[in-house]
Amino acid sequence: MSDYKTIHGISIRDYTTDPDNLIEGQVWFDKTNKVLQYQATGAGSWATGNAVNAARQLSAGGGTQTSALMAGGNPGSTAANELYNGTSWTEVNNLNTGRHAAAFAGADNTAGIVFGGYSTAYVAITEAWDGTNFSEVNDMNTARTTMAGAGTSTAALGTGGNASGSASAINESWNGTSWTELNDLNLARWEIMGVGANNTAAVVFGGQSPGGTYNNTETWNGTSWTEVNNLNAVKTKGAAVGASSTAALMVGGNPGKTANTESWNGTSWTEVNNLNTGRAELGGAGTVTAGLAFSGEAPGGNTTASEEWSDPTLSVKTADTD
Amino acid sequence: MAKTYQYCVAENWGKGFIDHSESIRITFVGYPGDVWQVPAYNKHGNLWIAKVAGTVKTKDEAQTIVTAKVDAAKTAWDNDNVEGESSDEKIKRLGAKPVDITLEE
Repeated sequence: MSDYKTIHGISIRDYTTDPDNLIEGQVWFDKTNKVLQYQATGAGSWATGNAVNAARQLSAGGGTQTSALMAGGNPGSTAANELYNGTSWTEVNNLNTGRHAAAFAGADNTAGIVFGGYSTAYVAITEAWDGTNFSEVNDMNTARTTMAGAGTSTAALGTGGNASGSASAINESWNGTSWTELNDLNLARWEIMGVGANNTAAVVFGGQSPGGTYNNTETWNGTSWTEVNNLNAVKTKGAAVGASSTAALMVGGNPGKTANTESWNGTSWTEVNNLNTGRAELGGAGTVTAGLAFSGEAPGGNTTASEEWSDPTLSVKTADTD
Repeated sequence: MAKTYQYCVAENWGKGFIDHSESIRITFVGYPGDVWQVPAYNKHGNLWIAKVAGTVKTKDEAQTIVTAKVDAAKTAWDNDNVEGESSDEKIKRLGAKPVDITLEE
């Protein structure tokens, strides 16, 4: 009978724990559990990340998996602001106006805008983050909460939301200086999620209104919104992860403070691996290959937990069972 | 009836607590009180509990921990009031009141 060394020219090493610095295809014998193991590429998955400093729901957040921002939120319509560097969350300078249910647009945690939300009333206030401080810039045209925020600090969209108690279809575009109202969404809704590269290409999804809870998805081409394929399940108050209109994750949300995650490829949504801790009103950042979900309202209360998405995942598999 | 899940208590320390390999192999559900649900009779689940030094709990013991945390959160919510604030305004300020959680066997 041929053995592994005869076929591959090398022997299989044994280890008591998983070896360091694994590479795809590496095979070893796990002496502790007496199984053959190997490193293989697998589907995307969520792993635990380090916790935020203060548990919050309905914060404004975004950026990347290694450069993210979380500003405002509840309880208390806080002005608190934290940055993530891929390892840890750090408290930094606050918003000028504390609020919850605002939206964020920005490529990373060095430049972005926080807009809209609810302080002691619905606000249209926009604040620009320069990596160190927030400064107030021009207001939105319509005060709203729970909008979809997409794009960057100089080319953003604020879409849908709750306009002083009414489900809104309003769509505003930010050019780095001021907001301009453009064509409306087809379906008015609040607690809507969305991502996009800038203010000319975005995708929004889910949400609700007094009329129901939605799985509708619409894409923006810079001029108008088009209905495209729906989410597999209705969702509100989740996190949107992505930086493009053709690649996004819909993470968690309601109903049920779910752990459910769906992936958008520009055409359709696919169910992928769930969060480890289900929650709604959480923050999201990053992309469909390297994403981040943080804080939010878990069953039983607000959580500090963050989770990191990787797709594909290099994972350890066991030859006899996986 | 054979149980579907097992429960343990383990504090989430962040990175490395659940890694991608484990997340793919095991369906985790995190609950209040650092209670974690993993599949029963599952080698990978058992290995993960050992890795995180989890304290295994019966479903009823885990339920008691979760319920205590939820009750504490409900009480804190009930006691956090601002004079003259309506119930809608309170929900806007604090979020919705936490609700009961029932663990599965």
